[in-house]
Amino acid sequence: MTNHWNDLVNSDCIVIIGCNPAENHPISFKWITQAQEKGAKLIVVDPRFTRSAAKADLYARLRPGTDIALMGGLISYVLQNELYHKDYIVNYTNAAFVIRPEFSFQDGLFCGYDKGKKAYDPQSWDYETDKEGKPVTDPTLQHPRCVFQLLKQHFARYTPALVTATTGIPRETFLKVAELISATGQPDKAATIMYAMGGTQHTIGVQIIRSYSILQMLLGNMGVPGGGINALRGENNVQGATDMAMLFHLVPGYMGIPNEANHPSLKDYLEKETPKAGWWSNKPKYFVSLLKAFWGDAAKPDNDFAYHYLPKVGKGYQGAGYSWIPLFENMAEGGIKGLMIWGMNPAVSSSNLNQTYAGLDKLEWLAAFDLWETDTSVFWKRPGANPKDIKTEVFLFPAADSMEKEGSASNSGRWIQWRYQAVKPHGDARSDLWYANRLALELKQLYQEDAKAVFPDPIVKLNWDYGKDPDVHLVAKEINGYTVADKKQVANFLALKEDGSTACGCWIYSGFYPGPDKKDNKAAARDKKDPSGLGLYPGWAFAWPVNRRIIYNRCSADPQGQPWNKNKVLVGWDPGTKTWTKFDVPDFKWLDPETKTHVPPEVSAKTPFIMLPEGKSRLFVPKGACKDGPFPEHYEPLECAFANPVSPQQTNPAIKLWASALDKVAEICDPRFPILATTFRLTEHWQAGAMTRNLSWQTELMPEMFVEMSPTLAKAKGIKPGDWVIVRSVRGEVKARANVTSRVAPFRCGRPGLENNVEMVALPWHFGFAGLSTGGSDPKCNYAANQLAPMVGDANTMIPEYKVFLVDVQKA
Amino acid sequence: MTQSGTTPELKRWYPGEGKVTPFRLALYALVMLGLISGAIRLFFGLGATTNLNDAYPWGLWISFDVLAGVALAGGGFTMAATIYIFNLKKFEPLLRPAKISAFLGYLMFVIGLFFDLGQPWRIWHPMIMWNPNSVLFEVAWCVMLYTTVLGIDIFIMALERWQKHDWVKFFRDIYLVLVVAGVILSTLHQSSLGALYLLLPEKMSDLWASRAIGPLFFTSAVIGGMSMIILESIISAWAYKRKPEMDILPSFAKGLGLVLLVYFAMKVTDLYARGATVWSLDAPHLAFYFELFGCVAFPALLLYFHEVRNSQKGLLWAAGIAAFGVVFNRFNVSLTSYGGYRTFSYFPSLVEIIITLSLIAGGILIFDFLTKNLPVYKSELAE
Amino acid sequence: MSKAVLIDTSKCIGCRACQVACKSWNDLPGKSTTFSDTWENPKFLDSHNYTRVLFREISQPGGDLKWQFIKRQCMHCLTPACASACPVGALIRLPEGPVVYNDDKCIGCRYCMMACPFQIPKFEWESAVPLIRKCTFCADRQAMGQEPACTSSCPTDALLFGERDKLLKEAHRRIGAHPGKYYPEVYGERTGGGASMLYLTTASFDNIGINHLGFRTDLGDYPHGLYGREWMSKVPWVALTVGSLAVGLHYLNKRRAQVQSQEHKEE
Ligand SMILES: Nc1nc2c(c(=O)[nH]1)N[C@H]1C(S)=C(S)[C@@H](COP(=O)(O)OP(=O)(O)OC[C@H]3O[C@@H](n4cnc5c(=O)[nH]c(N)nc54)[C@H](O)[C@@H]3O)O[C@H]1N2
Ligand SMILES: Nc1nc2c(c(=O)[nH]1)N[C@H]1C(S)=C(S)[C@@H](COP(=O)(O)OP(=O)(O)OC[C@H]3O[C@@H](n4cnc5c(=O)[nH]c(N)nc54)[C@H](O)[C@@H]3O)O[C@H]1N2
Ligand code: SF4
Ligand code: SF4
Ligand code: SF4
Ligand code: SF4
Ligand code: SF4
Ligand SMILES: [Mo]
Repeated sequence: MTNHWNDLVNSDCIVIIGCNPAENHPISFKWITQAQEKGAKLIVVDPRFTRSAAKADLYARLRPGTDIALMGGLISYVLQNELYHKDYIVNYTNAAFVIRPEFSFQDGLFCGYDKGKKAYDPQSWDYETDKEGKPVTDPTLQHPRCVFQLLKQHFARYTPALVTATTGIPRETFLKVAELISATGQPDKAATIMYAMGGTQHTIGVQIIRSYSILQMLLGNMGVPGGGINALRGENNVQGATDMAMLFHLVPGYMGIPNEANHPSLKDYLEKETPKAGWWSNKPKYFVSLLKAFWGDAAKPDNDFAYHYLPKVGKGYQGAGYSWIPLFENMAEGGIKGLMIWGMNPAVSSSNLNQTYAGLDKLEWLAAFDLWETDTSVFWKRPGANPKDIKTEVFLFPAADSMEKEGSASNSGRWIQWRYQAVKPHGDARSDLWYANRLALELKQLYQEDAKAVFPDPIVKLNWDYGKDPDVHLVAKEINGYTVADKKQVANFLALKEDGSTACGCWIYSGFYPGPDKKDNKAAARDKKDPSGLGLYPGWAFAWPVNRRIIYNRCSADPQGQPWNKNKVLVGWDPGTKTWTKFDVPDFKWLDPETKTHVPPEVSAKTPFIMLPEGKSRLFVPKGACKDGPFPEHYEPLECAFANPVSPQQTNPAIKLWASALDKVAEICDPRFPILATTFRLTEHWQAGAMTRNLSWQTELMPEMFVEMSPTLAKAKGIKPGDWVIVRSVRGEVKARANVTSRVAPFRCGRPGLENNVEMVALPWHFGFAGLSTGGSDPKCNYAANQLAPMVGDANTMIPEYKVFLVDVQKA
Repeated sequence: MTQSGTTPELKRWYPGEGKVTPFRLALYALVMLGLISGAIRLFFGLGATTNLNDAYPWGLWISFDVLAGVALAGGGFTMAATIYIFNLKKFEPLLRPAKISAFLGYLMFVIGLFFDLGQPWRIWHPMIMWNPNSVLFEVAWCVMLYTTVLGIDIFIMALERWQKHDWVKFFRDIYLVLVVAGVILSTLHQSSLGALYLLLPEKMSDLWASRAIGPLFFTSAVIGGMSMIILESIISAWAYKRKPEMDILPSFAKGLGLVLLVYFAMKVTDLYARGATVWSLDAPHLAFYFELFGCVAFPALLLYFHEVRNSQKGLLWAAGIAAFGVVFNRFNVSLTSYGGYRTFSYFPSLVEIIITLSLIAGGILIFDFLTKNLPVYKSELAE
Repeated sequence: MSKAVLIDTSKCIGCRACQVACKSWNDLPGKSTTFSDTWENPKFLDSHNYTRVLFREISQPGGDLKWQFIKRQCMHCLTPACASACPVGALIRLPEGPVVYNDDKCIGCRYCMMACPFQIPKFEWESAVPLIRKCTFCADRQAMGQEPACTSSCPTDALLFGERDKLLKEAHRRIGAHPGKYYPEVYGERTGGGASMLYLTTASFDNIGINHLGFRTDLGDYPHGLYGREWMSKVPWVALTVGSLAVGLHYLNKRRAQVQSQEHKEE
């Protein structure tokens, strides 16, 4: 989230698109409801009429996978009708930047596409520079090659008619949405966009989110109270997990993981990965401090701070990285031999489960750390499998749950909140930290004692000293960072050094534990004062970075430092006293460290987006930072019942496809699978279900696997409400009860001349085959929806396309 | 009370007791079944043994054992009032059997209720835990007291049988108190049983949800009581090879006809006054027509005819229909009417039916026993 | 002062946190259920479910789709029919609002179930020694100064716990502040004599189609708890009247008979 949960109340227009917070983030509706009470409008865009939609002032039913078409239409509407916030985009975005003349776009493809490699060469996707190498800009936005004009040109194709033909949203509804959202182009109005998996789980997921962002930039809604682009994070503390680099392409603090090909030495890494301008020019300080935190005294200037201990991405894995899909493909090929499943249940949650099972079946061992015996830890007993044929040795480690241990959890608003142990772990359960610690200590000893150990140093010399019964505060303090010489906690990341004199486990968290005592732990702060009246609560917990509640907050004021909205002030320049009034921690240079005087607003107005080298928000993403184009462009999902109405390019040209026998894909408009399917979550269940299908109170609420279908589809197939039906894709099938409801409806849309009426069904994906409740009464049945979903990922993130695929439905 | 042997000097009033007839065997068998069912009911609970549910918390036992049973036992107070208050002494021969059957009716009520209660052993709670706002509280007390009154009455008969004349005299002296108490209590609880339904107008069909349900219940209880007296008189005469009191029955039946007419008028006035939807062809309406025309107007009409009143068969039919009408009314009020808007249904379970049947069987057996051992049909104390 | 809950169904997102919180606080077991086409589950209130959220999908042809979520539980009537029905006073209304039940008094007659106009009290049918069960308004929590489990768990403040008069004011303020949004009546303000559970809805319960599910709109304002009281208030008078009539008639008729027989003799 650029903003945070409480801030939703400050919004004038809340756009829920690609998520269903009433069901999956219920507490958000505390603030949404309050905003509505104050007059805010709520728009919900979803293929299904959800519990969120039930609360909306305006609901738009959109064909799954077509968000870019809708957003393109809105962007175009805003541009054509000049409803954008001009001062904002001229000053705070790269709208005025001129793009190199070679750049072009045609027939759905950007220039530089290599058909053979299925990849772009993004050379020409770049700013035109002057002799000094500085980008050329045209603040009048008139230059035909400036980003603004290119943007206008790119999205001019997304007319209301094309929006309707692509998304299935009726023209009037589209215009109503456009009117409501674009009203927040007024300087003192703000719209917020809330999104999650409905936006991301597509082969064009990143570009979908980009399209949301571009609209927000044009309307001047970024960095302001009640605005922003807000990812509703999923798992409890998944924010913290990604901050700590539970992502395949990062090391802690959102620094790219080195790879063998490009970064053989620390010097290579730092030179190639550190931009010349912007905050990331500090990256060496954070990276070296990280290495110091990892290897302590063993990380010395003369050994590149033990850079060679750090595992790098292998050559074969560049591109897709060690992401989910290649790991499981490799497993199925017999590559990966052992698997630690730590708090997840892929036997239900992974896409294309039959492929997943094929991988698990090949494992020599599997260690599962979980609260329950999950579908994954008994994958060898799943319906259809013969336990005798599966040789995998499975170890089950009982894990303590979140109430049974102390530590921090970071929420979507980047608030690090400390939690205390409420009860002692049940039975033999241990905290994950305890297991990790034990594993590390055990490994250290094994490597130390083994004379024949290959390359033992990274383990043996690992700086790992949290006690035998690990103290979570020691871990927290290391994450905050300290000076190596005297082991004093640093105040924040400004104190971090490139020379190895500081260590820091995750630079963005630096400052949350700035002193030695438990009382210094700001994650545990519980001050309820709110001086801003905007729900910032600066004394409650700690928001990274440096307790900043709304990032890019320089944009909440005009270039002269005057807040766009006088009633909702985050920061403001007082020309009289020449000082900044600050309710939030400024996300810009406001104080000159030398003179200790306040820096006038004109300076920071030049670079309100301090993380980017150009200092401006990117309407156009240069240099292939997005692999599939500098502008979002609509492509159809991999499996789709429509020919792309926007261009001849059917699917995202930059996605990677796998060719194993289990990676089957239906054809475009496949007559065998004429129905669209999407998957979704329910309030009543949690994810792969181990946590809720084992609880009688939850299963009582939602006992059985079902599939939402329209009354017209049910009628056509002779299906009555509650009937058991079979939903079948080219990869597998699942049994479910028919939930006949008007909450889903067929989509009538398509390229002119190729219009089609296509039904959609929707399946919750929480059910499986193990636990108190599996999804039905048949013990020989696997009720997991992911038996249907394809194993194909977004071009950038590799997130699987769980949200659209093709199926057929039949009465069981 | 004793069987022959301990008080040899007493002669039997009626011969032939102890003879095992198939009918009696069947009755004993029913009682046995009832005892077993009762045990099962107590052991496994209401949910497991009855078809009662949250939508139908009251079923057969309340409809029949309680509501209908009490109404049919209305003969006790009706006769007492007739004789002691209206001083129509000629009907005296009908008084004692009426008392016996009333007592049995209430016994049925108490036993039926015992099985119906979720916490049967707390049946005495209303004695010490008071809610003077509760109609059911009133019913509980009245029934308790009235059963005691009836019990005393039966006890007096026993004293007569044991020839404890002093005691009998004592009771005779205070008898008026008992009569008046009995009449008051009966009036109250007979109507209050109807008033129970005053609390749930919204759940009942318009046809029966009347603000006047109290007086209607009272009046129909008089009908129930009178019909039962006629029926008993004739049937017991057949059973005990006695002559029915055909000297007084016709004029008594005339009274019944009159009460039926009054009741019919009350019902019609009530419906009209409330503006209920009277004409329709759904099940409740059909039941209602049958109840009102078939079981009130029709027997009244029958009894209008001299020939009917003076024939045993005629009386049997007319009184039978009237009595059935009262039972049917109780079922209608408590089930037909109540069921209207629900998606659930209720039909009594085997256990419910058996217990109810065995209560009837037990009632007949006790009636038989009492009439054979107490001065029921022939008073020793004839004035 | 009497406590109440304002249930603003326009704010309810149907998350059923309240339903689970109620189970949790009252230590009620989860039951084995089957799929429900409306998503409501359990399908009925019973002795293990004191509250439940109704889901109603309303789709008129051509009109917008609506999906309504309405929490249901004991209304905690101001003049509760259940309490007036109970022969042993096992159910009583506390001055603070909750209508509470005493396990030790109940005889299990189920008259309260018959009497409640909202079909709330439920019986432990599965038990051999069954008792009545229903929402307690968390009287035990209130006694500790805490709000009910359900209201405390509601993420959207669709359930607001507080003083009844203040909540009523707030309800009417909302109706006034958002013209057209709410059905302009507070269900429970006067319904059946008034209740502690006050509902704000966007349409009448008739329109939502749940008036037969414990949200009757035909109950009127008359306190249901008074029906029994009214009758009972007549009881002493009826007793007196019947008693004195009986005694009077007895002597009158006796005297008449005596006179008659005298006349006979004299003749
Ligand atoms: N109760 C509960 N809460 C949860 C979870 C849970 O399992 N249960 N999971 C947590 C996790 S890990 C996550 S990631 C989040 C996910 O939170 P959400 O993203 O809200 O979850 P989903 O239900 O998967 O998807 C949201 C909506 O996207 C819609 N959708 C599908 N395709 C499209 C599309 O192409 N465009 C648009 N605009 N919408 C589309 C679906 O119909 C669905 O209603 O929830 C978190 N919260
Ligand atoms: N079709 C379809 N599939 C999807 C999605 C979709 O929208 N559609 N969404 C995807 C998304 S966004 C996600 S995040 C994944 C989630 O997929 P998974 O992560 O596989 O699913 P979870 O059920 O969240 O698994 C978490 C496990 O951790 C255990 N656990 C809980 N607390 C602790 C703890 O403290 N310690 C340990 N060791 N274990 C603990 C739980 O019991 C549970 O078994 O699923 C993905 N799969
Ligand atoms: S994390 Fe907990 S409090 Fe937050 S929305 Fe989910 S269930 Fe509610
Ligand atoms: S709703 Fe029913 S149970 Fe609750 S207080 Fe009112 S009458 Fe009693
Ligand atoms: S069942 Fe219990 S609480 Fe209900 S009325 Fe009877 S005694 Fe009272
Ligand atoms: S008030 Fe208490 S008992 Fe009643 S529904 Fe709420 S949580 Fe359940
Ligand atoms: S907790 Fe609140 S929002 Fe959720 S279902 Fe209950 S009343 Fe509705
Ligand atoms: Mo997620």
